[in-house]
Amino acid sequence: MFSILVFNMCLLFLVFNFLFFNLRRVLRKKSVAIRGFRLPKLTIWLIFLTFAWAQTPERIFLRKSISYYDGILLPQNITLPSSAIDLIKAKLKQALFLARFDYNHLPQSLQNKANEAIAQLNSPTIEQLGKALEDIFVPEIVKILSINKELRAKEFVDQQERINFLTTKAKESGITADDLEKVMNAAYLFIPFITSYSSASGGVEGNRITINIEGGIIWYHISTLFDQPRLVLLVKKSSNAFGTAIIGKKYYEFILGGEELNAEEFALLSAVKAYVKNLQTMTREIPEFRLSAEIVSVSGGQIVFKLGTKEGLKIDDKFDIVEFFEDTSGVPIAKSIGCALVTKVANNKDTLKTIRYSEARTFLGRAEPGMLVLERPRLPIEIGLRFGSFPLERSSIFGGSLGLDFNVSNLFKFPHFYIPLEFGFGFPENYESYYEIGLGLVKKFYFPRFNFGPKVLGKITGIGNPKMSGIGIELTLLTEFYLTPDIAFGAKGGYAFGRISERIKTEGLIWSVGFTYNPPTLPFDPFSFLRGYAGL
Amino acid sequence: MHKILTILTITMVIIIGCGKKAMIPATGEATFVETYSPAEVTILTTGVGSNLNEAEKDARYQAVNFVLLGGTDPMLQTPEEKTKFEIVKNQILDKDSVRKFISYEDDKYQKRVKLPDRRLKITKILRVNKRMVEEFLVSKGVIKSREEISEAIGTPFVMVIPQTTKEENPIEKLNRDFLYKKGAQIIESFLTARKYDVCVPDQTVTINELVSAMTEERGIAEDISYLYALTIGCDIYITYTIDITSARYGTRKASVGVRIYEATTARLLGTETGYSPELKTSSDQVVMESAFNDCMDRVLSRMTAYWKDDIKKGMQYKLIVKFIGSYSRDKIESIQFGITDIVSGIGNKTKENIISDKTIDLLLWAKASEYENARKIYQTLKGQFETKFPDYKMNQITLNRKLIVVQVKKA
Repeated sequence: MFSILVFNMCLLFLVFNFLFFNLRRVLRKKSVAIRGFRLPKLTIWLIFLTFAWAQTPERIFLRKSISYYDGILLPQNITLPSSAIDLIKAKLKQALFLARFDYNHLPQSLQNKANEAIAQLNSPTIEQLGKALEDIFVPEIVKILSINKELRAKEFVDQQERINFLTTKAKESGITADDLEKVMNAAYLFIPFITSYSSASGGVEGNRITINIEGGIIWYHISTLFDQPRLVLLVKKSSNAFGTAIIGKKYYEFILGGEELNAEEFALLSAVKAYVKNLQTMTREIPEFRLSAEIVSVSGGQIVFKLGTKEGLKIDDKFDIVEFFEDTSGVPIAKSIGCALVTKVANNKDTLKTIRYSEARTFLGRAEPGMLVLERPRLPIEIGLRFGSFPLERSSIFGGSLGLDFNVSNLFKFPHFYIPLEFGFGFPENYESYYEIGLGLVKKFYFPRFNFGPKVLGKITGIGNPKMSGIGIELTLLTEFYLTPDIAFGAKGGYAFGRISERIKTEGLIWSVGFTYNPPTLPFDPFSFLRGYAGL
Repeated sequence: MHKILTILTITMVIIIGCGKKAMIPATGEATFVETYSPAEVTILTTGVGSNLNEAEKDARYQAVNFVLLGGTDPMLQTPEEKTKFEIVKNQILDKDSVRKFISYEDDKYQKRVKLPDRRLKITKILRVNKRMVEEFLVSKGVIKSREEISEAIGTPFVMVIPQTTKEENPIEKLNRDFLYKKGAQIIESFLTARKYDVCVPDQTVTINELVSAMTEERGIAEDISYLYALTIGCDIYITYTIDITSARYGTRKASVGVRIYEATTARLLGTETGYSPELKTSSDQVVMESAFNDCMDRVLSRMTAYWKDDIKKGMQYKLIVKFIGSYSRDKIESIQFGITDIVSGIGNKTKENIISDKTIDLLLWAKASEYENARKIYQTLKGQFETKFPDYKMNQITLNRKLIVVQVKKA
């Protein structure tokens, strides 16, 4: 049995390698004929990967400070329950107060003034809004920046400056006017807004409530380069999300201190969670806020760079590997040539003097010292769609599965750990349907271009007509080949144990092939959505 | 015949092909950043190569190449040094061995970019140990060591004094203003680190005699720093100005101007300005020292170049001859011709500044091997003069390392 399993896995591996290398050879031949020079090994991946940014990324992330308007802009035709407003505000602050930011706290009196100023505007444009808030907030923010500028500027004194005459011999901080200017010009303000809010009852049995939220945030930059500091529009980001729940059900919410929520409250919470997560990802994608660092050293696919807990780095955070390419007119263009996952996060909070480095493993492309790592914000979830066979009554049936692999590496402080939740379905000959719901654990090991790892899944299996269910366990090995940093073609094979009844066993070889996708945003919070849908 | 020709051609091609290729800087991009210490300079350099390793090697090569031959004040200054360097060039500028002269290499790249021709271009900060490079060049006989220079013409004496207006006394300024005092100390620390002798002027220096000797004829006021330099007897004197201002965001910024003069002629040998960054500090001394660090390396290179140049001509002296009493036109001319002839015999080279009825003011370069010091020159001059003109006597008024002031009168 075991030999068949190994044979199966090897076969899959060989098929993928064959496809992959042949494709590469074809491309190489074509390229040689066209361009007349040797094609590097990476070319095939560059075709999938190479992606240029319109804005040149910062070589080193410079810490920013943020303030916010403590309210939510609403169109006149929308009324939102105050509890919903409070929840959105609280969750937004939680999501957007990222470790990479310092906060410029604005007093409540100014927030009240801002409320009054905004109330006087009738359907304001972004520019009008900025102008109204500029007079109220900017002087206070500039005052806060002036007070804290030296402390924050210490962050900007880089390693080279720390070993020059001023710091080593004169024992000075080494802070220059340029560093202070960076601090003064690294302040931002955000304003949340909602453009649509709807609550609808429905569903198959009419007992389901669904709440939709559409909105976003407007980011302004406080520029002190003018004679009078100004609010300059940076970007407007929008998102939409929904949450659902079964009317009449009570939902126990862990995060809100074990509170019991009714269906509407839970649906709102579920929608808000997805909404703020999306906005967080969108904020992390803004070039000014995107974490970046120079690769200090590379050893066997393991890269070292200077970011850490102070910037909120987490295990399994995804980073693009960026190289600059000069075009014929001499303009450098940043392009992604690879991708890496964080494996070790350095604690760089305690001191400015000691340099601590984090590590990441390259799984696509290659890295060299001097290249950049640039944050690629993604949700800690992978969605998989696979097709294969399930064992049922000493034979195999064809079917498919939808999987949600929750990345829990940061929870365990151990890289590449996932909790997979899978919904499988099959088409048996003797029964109306076949289904299975599984929950388990996966540990992936990353190598160039692919990962490989064991997967354990405990599952509930069932058939329709006669309606019966049982339990089982499946032990598989999976492998995934990365087509892009977010999309992988994968396969798994292994053995399943279990039974639905004395006669109907679900034991035998299983295999499947399919794709996984790591999305940047989702219109729903998967875990809350499942709970809401199932009434759990 | 064809076979021989073919073999010869192939052999030639192989020899040429296998020969070590001349090293050509890939970009020639290197910039002076800071004098980190008297022995080290920080250079921002750019390297190009087929891969990172090659580009880094090229960057190191560029940095050392810049210290040796680039910038306004390279280490190799004379044509003779450059010619000798060509022989040992491959030993020092070999891209693999050049690393030993790099005392620090930043792990961060200022720039890293792939060029359209697929080569990699990097820019990073390196620190070159100039002292090591100098020692290497001395060991290979490319440049002369300071000891050799000192043996040839003696150790140069340098005076450091603030630049003042003609009405202001620099020594008073030095004693009164702490910043100027500190400034002098900083320059002096650079000088002593490079084994120059430093003359420290103080209140006891009297320049009255010299002033009377020099200004009687010209009827103009001399630069007081020059007079001090001559009186003390230094070879070179350095004047400096300090300007500290408030800059952006409450920072302080200093700019210093440093000028080097030849002591005997007050000829300006070089002038440099150093700037500090706009620094958040409560101490003006810190920004001032940073500004001095910015320019002192160039100042000293200029000075070293002058000093090496002086070896060829010999040691420079200023000779002032005052004529006491009245002389007939013929007599004074005969004495003037006699003195200039004697001086031409003593020195390798002479340069007349003023020859009048009252004064002769000239420069002479004498070989240190023949005339150890000013006294020997005076001794020879006096002996030959009194032999030539037995009715006249020559006596010294002032005699120091660089200056010989004598008077001539009837016996």
